[in-house]
Parts: sequence; structure tokens; C-alpha cells
Amino acid sequence: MKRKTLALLLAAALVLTTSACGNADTSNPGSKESGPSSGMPDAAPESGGSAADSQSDATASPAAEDGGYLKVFDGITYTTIVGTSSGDVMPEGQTVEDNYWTRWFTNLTGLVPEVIWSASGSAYGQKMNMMIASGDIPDYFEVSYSQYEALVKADLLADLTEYYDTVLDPRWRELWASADDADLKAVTKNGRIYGIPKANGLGDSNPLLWVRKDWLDKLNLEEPACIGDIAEIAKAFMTQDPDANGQDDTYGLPILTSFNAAYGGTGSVGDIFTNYGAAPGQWVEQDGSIVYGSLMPEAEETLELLNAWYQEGIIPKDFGSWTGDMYKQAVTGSKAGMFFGPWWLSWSYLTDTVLNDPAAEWAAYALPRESGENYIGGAPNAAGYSIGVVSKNCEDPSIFFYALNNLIHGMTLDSYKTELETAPIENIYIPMSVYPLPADAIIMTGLLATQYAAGEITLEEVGELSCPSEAVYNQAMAQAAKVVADSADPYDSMADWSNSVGYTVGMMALYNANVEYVRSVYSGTTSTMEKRKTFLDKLELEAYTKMVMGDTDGKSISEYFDEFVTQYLEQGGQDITEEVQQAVDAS
Amino acid sequence: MKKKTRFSQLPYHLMLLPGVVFVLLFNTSTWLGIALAFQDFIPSRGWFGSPWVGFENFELFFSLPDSFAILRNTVVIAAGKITAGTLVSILFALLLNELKGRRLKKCIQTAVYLPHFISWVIFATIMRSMLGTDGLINQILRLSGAQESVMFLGTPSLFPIVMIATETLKEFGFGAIVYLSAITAIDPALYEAAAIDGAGRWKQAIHVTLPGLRTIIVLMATLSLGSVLDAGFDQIFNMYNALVYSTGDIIDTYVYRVGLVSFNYGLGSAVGLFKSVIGITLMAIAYWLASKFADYRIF
Amino acid sequence: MRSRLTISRFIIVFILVLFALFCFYPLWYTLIVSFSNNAAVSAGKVWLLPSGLNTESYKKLLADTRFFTSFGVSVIRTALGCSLNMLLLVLTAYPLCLPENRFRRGKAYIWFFVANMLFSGGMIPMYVVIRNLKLLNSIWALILPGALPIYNMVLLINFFRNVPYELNEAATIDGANPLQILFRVYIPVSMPSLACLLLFAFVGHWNAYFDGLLYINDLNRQPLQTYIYQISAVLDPQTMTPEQLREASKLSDLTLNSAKVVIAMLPILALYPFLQKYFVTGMTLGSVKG
Repeated sequence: MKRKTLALLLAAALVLTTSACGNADTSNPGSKESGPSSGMPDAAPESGGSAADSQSDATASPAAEDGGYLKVFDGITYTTIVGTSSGDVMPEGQTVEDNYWTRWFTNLTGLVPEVIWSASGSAYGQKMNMMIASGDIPDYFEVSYSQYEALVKADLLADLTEYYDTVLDPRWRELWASADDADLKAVTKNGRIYGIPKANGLGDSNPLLWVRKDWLDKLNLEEPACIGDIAEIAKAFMTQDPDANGQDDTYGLPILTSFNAAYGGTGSVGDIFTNYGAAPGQWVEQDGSIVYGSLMPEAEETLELLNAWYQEGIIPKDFGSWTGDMYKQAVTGSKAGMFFGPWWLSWSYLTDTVLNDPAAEWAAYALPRESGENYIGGAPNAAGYSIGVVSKNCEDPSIFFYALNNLIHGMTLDSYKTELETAPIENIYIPMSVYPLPADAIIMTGLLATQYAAGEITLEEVGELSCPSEAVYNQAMAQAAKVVADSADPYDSMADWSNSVGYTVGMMALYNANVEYVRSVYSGTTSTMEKRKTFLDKLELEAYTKMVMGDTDGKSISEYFDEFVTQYLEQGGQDITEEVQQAVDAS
Repeated sequence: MKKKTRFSQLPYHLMLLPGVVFVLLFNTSTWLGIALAFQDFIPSRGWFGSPWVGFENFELFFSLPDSFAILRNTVVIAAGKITAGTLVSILFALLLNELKGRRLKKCIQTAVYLPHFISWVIFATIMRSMLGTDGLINQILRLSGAQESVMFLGTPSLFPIVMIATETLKEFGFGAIVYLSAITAIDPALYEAAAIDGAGRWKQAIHVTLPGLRTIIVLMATLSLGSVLDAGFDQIFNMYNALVYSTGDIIDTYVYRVGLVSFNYGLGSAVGLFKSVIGITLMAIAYWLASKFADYRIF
Repeated sequence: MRSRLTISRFIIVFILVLFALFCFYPLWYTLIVSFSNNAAVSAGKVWLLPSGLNTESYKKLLADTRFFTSFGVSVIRTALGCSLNMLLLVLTAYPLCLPENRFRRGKAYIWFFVANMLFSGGMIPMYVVIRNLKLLNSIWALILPGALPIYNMVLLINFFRNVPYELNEAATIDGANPLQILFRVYIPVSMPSLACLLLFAFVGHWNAYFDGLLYINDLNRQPLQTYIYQISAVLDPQTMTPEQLREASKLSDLTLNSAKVVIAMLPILALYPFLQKYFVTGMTLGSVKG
């Protein structure tokens, strides 16, 4: 069920543009009107045996044409590799190479993926790196941003620029446009595009402040409304024994040494920086010129705040050596009543907490600097993308763009709903998974689920307000939220509970905070970065951690920060800034 | 006699042939790849087409403000591990040899050999919880009167020691196997002679067992010189953090982080070559010293 | 004298048992985690005893066909690999253990091997070599490249040199050829050392995961540790996209993973007593080689 989230969110992508799916322009040329009648699935060969009789790559013989965007091929085989989730167990009759969704894909597009290998976790990247280094890559595969850059440099990729204009259904462009085209800009190298970027939608990794609501109530504390309120709650948690075990053994606010505004994620304080006007790890424009967000005076101000928290014991003394599993232990073992984490931690941190302590009740907040202000969140940078790429040796890269067109078409058909419901496995196994998400896809799900649970809209309305392909998923999430809201025992079904809390508590916190995003204006790796960035990153992380701890060789935080900035710029930061400025000016 | 040995050389060469073939095929053949260390390697152009950059990859590493610290950390941690590991393994083998109960002996020996098979991902998790501010070690320290808890993994001066200690704990049992099997090769007549001379168990251990282990100790020490720049990526990577960069960042973790920023095949190869050259130089020196001063041929 | 001895013996036993307990703990921890429930483990509540006797993870494991397929691959790989290793080890080590007046080129061979032990072109050329030899996706890609473990060979040379040379000379006079001397004289008296090297070979093959990852594409041909490596991923925000992190943290099943680690260790535990008798019981005085 859970992994369907992602899958269905992908479907949501098809809904086009921001917020209200109802606004989607349905008069797109081609597919919409004539789509259902094109009879695509019938025209395409059944998968399986068909791979054999289609030796030649890219001898496209259109089986159906539709407004110029749809084209079903006659069983063209292409090679690819697949990254899977670790621990996946496939049901009988389904394999990574040949399953419900690969067959569905072949039916829809006429392309037959031939999976050379699959791997999960970091193994996928390691194995792919070896492939890249040895120079033989599959026809189509999906890579990380650094692998993308390496492949471009190695001149192994096909230039896809023209297909964006000549082949791609414009609805795709609208999807990227909903996130200000940041994804497309990131994959543009010297004016050419060598990949198809998939973005994760905004808000996916922003660290929310999760707070034990039951502890707030027990200690008669007000809900926090701004960052400044955190300290008081933390001190109350530390000294007033919220877990009633007779000991002052509760942490105030554990954090991890994760300051980067672009990564976000568990334990990250990146969004405290952004709400203070800084943007560690991002390139931002200030007074017309590019600056590195970790060096901004606003960052120093934030570090002063964190240092004050550290001095008061709110941040654990040894937080610098904490790892993810220790962080989780503190939270799920009820040793901490507040922590930072993305909305989807409802599926692990929160469930584990309530399994251990059924009294636990969680609230989530996206706290601005001053109450009433808008929340400023860090937007993910290119490192978070996966990017579909095509080998230079592939004769006709356009087939993959036709496949995308077929996908956007097939996923908006009504039959797709049924397919989603009846499929024995989740649709993450669709061979091409580079669909971008409309910027607010996740928030929309949260909003509709919340409104339905509160009785403000009906289930039909959830479906209508969603776009067709997203309707099934949003209705499921809305029902989960309703079950939890109506039930005497919210923990009756942990699956419903985690779905409900993730959306109606987690995502709604971001929605209610009127989030604005600060985004890096540059994502690439300049030549000085290649040489010095590793050193500079280490310098930065070390200095930031030390400043939070006040371990500053007897200097004040501001003196230490100034020295850090000077050193950073001298050791290559200045050159990098100039390179980034040039690159941005040039684009 | 002399004539006979000349004729009998061929069988020996034949016996060596399969091993030599496999090594040539799978190892020597990759030496061409050392060229990567001097290239800006571009996969699509291959080893012959990529531009040559001389020592640029080496300079890239050695020109960093912290390259000396990284090198020092690597050597300190690696040398510490070699020394501590060898000493504890030998000590353990000697102590175990003093035990009488065969069953107890077997149980103990099996137990200490087990951690070798636990991956660092899991082992590090266990060690972190033991070494945490509320962990077992700190609780023991507090019971014995310590006021402040010690941040074992967050204090630069302690970090290398913790790395050496945990690695030793994990590996000494496995390392002891080779010494245990060497002890079995010691001629029992020597013990009997010593016993007749009135030597107790202690004296026997010191005057018979230890000298009997001398060759294997020298051999193992020499071989370990080959890896004196391998401080253990898996371990450090799973246990280090920003607080202990100054003493805990090693060559391999640094190269790993470079790889996150950009792909640099040359740097990895250059660092690998550098490690090999240092390793074989040290081994050659040890070999030469042993043969010159102890008239002893290591291998 | 006598009482002092007992005290010192007691101290030795105490130290050794302490060592043993410490070393046993990681496996014990893995074992109790495999029987506990996930939430209790993630809260750090499981450290001495399991939070119950939950066999759920072992039931799930039984349903995982890929686990058992890889287990089978590992068994075959280890059996083939160890046989080849041991054969090449003795064949190579014997000529090289001989004094220079018997085999004149020994030194050159040894330095050739040692140079190969230390210098290698690295992963990329290795991959290319294996690809060019058409070994990708074959179990031989896991066996042939390490067919001669040089480090162990150097050890064996030294062990062989400890064999009294008179035995060799006597056999030569009896007209035995080099192979006969190796198999009838050297191998029988070197059983403890060979057991030790067999153990190293076994452990090396059983625990290897990275070659299986790089050289084998077909999931059904990957060895067990390659499979286990992929499930025990560290959540690293720097190398994983937010999406991967999200999926991984949702799926994380500590108890199931621990069960897999425990089962994967069984062969090593099962083999050990058979080899151990050579280098532990052999130590009691008087029972050494005959």
C-alpha cells in the first residue's frame, strides 16, 4: 500500500500544473479527444514472445498516430537497468524483468524493455558506476545528478534537446513549468539537454517540527507558533518529566548535523536557516549577485540561535556524533518529544513510537521565524533528482519520448484506475519512471483528505477535485483519514493511521504555513568545485557543528563565523562563486 | 647431486604454472589500468584516448590544506590497528594455550571468532550504543566515580583510539587463528625439555611458545605493512562525524566524498597507486632488514 | 607456588571469558533482534533479551525464494572456490618453500606474486578484463580471479618451511617425485595450517559480496552476501534521493534483516568445529603431529 503513494503520485503528475486539477487545460491537441478511440493496447503486440521478433532497434513503424504525439511501436526492444527497493519480494509470476507493469508498458508503447540487471539501494549506484566507467551503457536508464554530469562529460549520452520540441506532448512541459522549470534548467548543459529529469514535487523533504501533542497537553503548554516558541517547550519537556518516569531524562530537541537547506530530511535544521533568510548549501541571488547560502550573515544569526539552544541543553550535548538510528531511537523510545522530519516519517518514526507507547499523539508544525509570517522552505536541488538518459548508441532516442506521450495518455484513461486497483504489484515497476510531479501534488492529497475527514466534501468531490488519474489514490487517502478520524481507537489500523497522519497532519502543516520555497539558482559542478568542493564541504560542516557547540577556540560565534567565511572564500570559495556567477549569467 | 637438481627444475615450474597463469590473466593484465592515475579518464575514449595529465591527480590530493592531516590520520589508525591487533591476537593465543578444559577452550575460541562475520554496519550500531553518553561504557565509568560522561565518538583525541580498540575487538579472534595453528606446529619435545629444566607454564610460554611463533609473527607483521595505508573504510565511514574530522578523516573516506561531488576516476587510481607503492616499499625494507640483520628469509 | 598458579589460572579464565562474552555479544544482539518486534528494536529497548519470541521474520524469510536461491549459489561458489584455492595453494607453495639449491628461481616467482598482491589496476580494468574474457554473469567470474590467494600462499610457504627438511630429503632418496613428496609428506603433516587456510578460503568466498554485485547481473546467480548487502543499506541523504530515502525508511525491517544475517552465518558456524579441532585440540601437549 505504502509504496503506492509514490506510484500514484506519479499518476498525479499527469494532472498538469499547480493546485486545482480542475483547471487543467483539457483541450490539448491530440490525445484527450481522440485518445480512447485510438485503440492503442490492441494495436500493440502482446509482450513476452514479441521481443524475439523485433531485432532491430528503432525501426519505428507507427502502429497508431494521434495528433502527432502518440505513436505505438511494433515491439522495439531496448536495453535498460532497474533500481528496486531493498527487501522487495515479488509475488508468484512477477519478476523485475517481466511483470504486470512491464507488460502494461509494452501494450501501451510497443516498446519491450530488456532488463540487463537490477539492484537496490546503494548497490544500484555502485553497479551503474562500473558500467559507466567501462563505457557500455544500456539504451535507456535512470541516473543520479552526479552520474548525469559524469555521463555528459564522458560523451556517452544522446542529445535529446530536439525531441523536447518535436516529439514531446506539451503537457509534460507544463508539468515542469509548475516547478519553475528548475528541473529542466538543472539538466541543461551548454544549452543542450541530455536527460529527462524527474522531480519529487515540493515539500517532500522539508523537515517539519513533530511534537508530542499528548506531552504538550499534559504539561499545559501552548502549541508553538514560531521558531522562538521551541525553546520553552523543549525546556518544559526536559525538566517537567512528560513521560512520568520520575527522571529528567528527556531530550529537548535532538538534531543531526544536517544543515543543508536543499537536502532537508530527518533531523535537518535546514529550514530554520531558510526562515532566518539564509540557505546553506544553495546558490542564491542577493542584491543582484550570486552568493553561497552558507556564508550569508543570516546563517551566522541562525547559528547563534542554535548555539543558544545548545548552551541551554536543548540540543543534546553529543548531537554531533548522532546518527540516524540513534535519532530514531530517541524518538521512538519516547526520549524526545520533538524532532525534525519530513511528512512521510509517519510511516516509520511515528508508527514505531505509538507501537511502543499507545498514548503518543503527534502534531506537526512548519514554524516561521515570527508567528503569522509565511514559512520559507528549502527546495530540493538537482542532487535529489533521478534523470532518465538515453545512450548515444541508441539509433532513435525519439522512441522514449513517444513512450512518455503514451504514458501521459494511458495514465489519464479511466481504465488506468482499474489497472491500479487490480495489479498484483505496485506500479513503481513501470519501466520509465521519470514523470515529474506538479509542484503541489503532495499538498493537494493532504488537503483533500483533510477536508473529507472533516466532512466538508464528499468522496465524489475528492475524486472530482483530483485529476482523473489521481482520484483513486486521493480517495483512498481520504478514506484512511476518515477511518482514523471516526474511529474510537485511531490505532486500529496502523496503515490507515500512518497514511492519515502523513497527509492530514504532516502535509497540512506545510499547507497551513503558506510555504514559499527558496531554490538554488545553480546545480552543476564547476571545475574548481571538482577540485575543492570536498574540502570546502568538510570545512563547512566542521565549522557549523563547532559553532552550534560553541567550540570556537574562545572566539565569539560571529568572529569565528567571519574567519570561516574568509577561509572558505580563500580556499576556493571565491573562485567557485565567480564560476557560478558566470554560468548563471550565461544561461 | 648437482646435476640431478638441474634436471629436476622443470616439475617445479610446471607446478607453478597454473597459479602464474591465473595471476597473469586476472591481475597483471589489469596493471594497464594504473595509467588511469595519470589521466583525466573519459570512459568513451578509453585508456588510450583519454588525455594525459601527468601528476595532476596526485597534486589534487596533496595540495589540499588538510592532506597532511588525512595522511597522518590514516597512518596513525592503520598502524595502531596492526600493532594492537597483532599483540592482542598473540596474547590471546598464549592465554588460550594455557587453558586446560578442552570444551571451554573451544567455546571461548569460537566466541571470539564470531565478530569477524558481523558487518561493520551492524557492528558499528552496537558499538555506538555502547559508547554513547548513556551507553554501557559511560555507565561503568560513572559507577566508578566519573563526573562527566565521555563523548568517545565526538572527541578528536579519543576517536583514533576508539577505532583501534573496536577494530581489535572485532578482529583479534580471527587473527589469532593463524597463531593458534602455528602453536600446534611447535615441537612438543621442546616443552618436555623445558619442563625437565624446571620451567613452569609461564616460563614455557615465554621461552618456548613465543620463540616458536617468531617466524609467523615477523611474517604477519611484514605482510601487514602492505596495507599500512588502509585504515578501514567500512569502519570509519560508519562511525565518524564532523566533530572528529580532524583525527578521523582518512584517505579512503576522503576519496569517497570526492566521488560524491564528481566522478574522478583518476584520483581513485592515483591514491590506490600511492598506497601500493608505499606498501611494497615498506615490505621490501622489512624483507631486507630481516635478511641482513637476522639472516632470515621472510618469504 | 601451587596456589599462585591457581590464582593466575583463575585470572586467565576470567579474562578469556570476558573476552568471549564481549565478542559473542554482537551475534547475540543480531539473534535477539531477529526474534523481537521492529518497534521495540528501533526504540533501543532490545539489548539483552528479545522483546518476545516473534518468529514472524523467520516465516517471512522462508517465503523469500531469492534468499534460498542465493544461498545455493553461495554454497556452490564456496565449494568450487575453496577446492581451486587449496589446490593452487599447495601446488604453488611447495616449490617456493624449497631452499635455493633445490629450486633456483623461487625468489623471482615470489616477488612476482607479492607485486601482484599489492598492485592491481583497480576495479575498472578488472571489470573490463572479466568482460573481455566473457565471464560476466558466470559463477567463474567469482572463482577464477581469486583462484590463487597470494597472501595465503605466502603463509603456506612459511608453514611448509617449518616441515623438517629431512623428511623431504628422505623421500627424495626413496625416489619420490615432487608431487608425491607434496601429497604424501608435506600435506599430511601440515593439516593444522591447511585447516587454517581452508577456513580463510571458505570465509573469503562465503563473505564476498562485491564481486557478485559487479560481475553478476542475473539476480538468481548472485551469491547470498550480495543479496544481504543490498538489504542492509545505510540511509545516507548524500547518496540517496529523498524518494529513495523515503522508500527505504518505510521498508526498513530490522528484524527480518537480522534473521537473514543469522541464517547466512549458519554455514560458517557449522563448518567451524570440523576445522577447529585441528588448531585447538592440537594444542594440548603431546598430541601434536606425529
